[in-house]
Amino acid sequence: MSVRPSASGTLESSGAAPDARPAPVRSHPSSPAAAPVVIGGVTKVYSNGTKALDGISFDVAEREFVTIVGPSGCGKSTLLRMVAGLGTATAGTIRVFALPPTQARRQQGGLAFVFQDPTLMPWRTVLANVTLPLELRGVEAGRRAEEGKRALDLVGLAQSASMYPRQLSGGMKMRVSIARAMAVHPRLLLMDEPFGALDEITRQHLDRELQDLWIRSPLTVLFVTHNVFEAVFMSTRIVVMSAQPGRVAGIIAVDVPFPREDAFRASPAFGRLVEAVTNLLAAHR
Amino acid sequence: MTRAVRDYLPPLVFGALAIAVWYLVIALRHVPGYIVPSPGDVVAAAVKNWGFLSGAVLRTFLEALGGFALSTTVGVALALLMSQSRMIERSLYPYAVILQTIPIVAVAPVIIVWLGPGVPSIVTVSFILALFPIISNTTLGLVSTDHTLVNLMELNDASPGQLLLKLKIPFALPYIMGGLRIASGMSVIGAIVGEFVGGIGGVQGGLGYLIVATAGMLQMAYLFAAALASCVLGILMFFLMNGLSYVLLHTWHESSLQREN
Repeated sequence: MSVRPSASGTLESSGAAPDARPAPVRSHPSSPAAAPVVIGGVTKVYSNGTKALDGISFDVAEREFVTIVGPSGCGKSTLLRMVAGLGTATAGTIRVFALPPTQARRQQGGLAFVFQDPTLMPWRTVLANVTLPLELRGVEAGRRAEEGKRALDLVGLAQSASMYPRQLSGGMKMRVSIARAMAVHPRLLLMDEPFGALDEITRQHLDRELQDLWIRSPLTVLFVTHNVFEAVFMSTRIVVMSAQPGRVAGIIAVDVPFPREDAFRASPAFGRLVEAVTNLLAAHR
Repeated sequence: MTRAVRDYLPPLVFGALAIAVWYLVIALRHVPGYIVPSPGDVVAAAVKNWGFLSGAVLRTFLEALGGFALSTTVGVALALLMSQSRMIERSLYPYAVILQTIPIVAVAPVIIVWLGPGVPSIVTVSFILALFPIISNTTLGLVSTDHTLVNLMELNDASPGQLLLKLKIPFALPYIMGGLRIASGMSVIGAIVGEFVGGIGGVQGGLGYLIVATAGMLQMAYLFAAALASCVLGILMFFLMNGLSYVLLHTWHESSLQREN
């Protein structure tokens, strides 16, 4: 695997309130060149008056794996949900492939979302769960089954197609959830602490699998976690957030080639990056 | 100990003991048969009047089934309607609760007056009694939908119809089955109360009429046999519902799963 190009500096920006940027205007709204995610000056105030997010701005480029790290309550899940069009920003703009999120997710090869919980329907088999998004889009049964099996193959669960979710372990359920997201051939995958509820061993295993999947597929990933080690292991860049209200504390580039082996976790470079992220989190507590 | 012995022996032993005590009390206190019949008298009365009794049971069963089917249809439809809008729910739900609190023995005579004695009245009484558990359980099921699953449907831009058919109704199914199980028993009681108040004489009267008639003539053994038949009918309905539950839920729901541990 080749070395991924990445931003040159280790610390791109820091400071509590980055300047709000308007989303760039493009002449061809859905041209392939459009950045997967552009977040410009996004502020979110809940109906009870709490300011959850304050002036968030950053972009995610094509084929990146960007991770948002922050303490609980920093609004990182709220931000990710808004990128998927679940909820709207009080101020600022979010563009996905240069489109508003609700339009982008209707596009062929748009975005897909993976929740913290597997969110499987217990009355559906594994295959029927994976093909649900296709069913809702009116794809005919034959092609649905084909696509579903392909997606299950991606996560190594082809032989479990006819099982029910209750028969699967936590890690397998999460893989089904990822297969369901992949069934629609997304170009952008949004993941909200997908492995947060799993044990450490399973988490590390799935991190590796997800990395392989990302390397093999034409995917851009925006990933939310509160686990600094996971963020360093997975990402091309890490967006570090501070809490109350949520702000971008800094963005750290991880200039380490892919695929990253487990040995990377034990390397001095890994330690330095973890320290950099941790210091940034601590400085903005 | 085999599974069958473990499952069936305790209730059988208890039943046998209860019957023994029943015999004992009658023998020791010299209770006359027209006050408390012995278990043997009850069985003899059931056998002697089998044709009449079985006809009454079948009639009551069909009436209860009619009331139950009607309450299921109307109850689920009303719950679906209420789940579509808070406004509709606020308008209707209080009246569903009031319907539940009106004593059926007060309503039944009114219905008999309006619809005349006979099957339509009896089915209506059965329907009214069985309606509320279905409305309340179905409504509970429809508003309990897992929120992240709703988010999932929203992310895939599901239509309101898809949301209902592919998520809300399957999710509510175990709740609906709970409502049906309660309602099935209520529908039998409703049918018997309906017959009690507005039944027709003879074999067409059903169990409710049979209970009134035998009590009036102090045929206690026959009365006990009729009451026992009512119980059997309720149990039959319960098992029918359990069967339906199993068919609909056994692949996925905790309530119908066979577990190894």
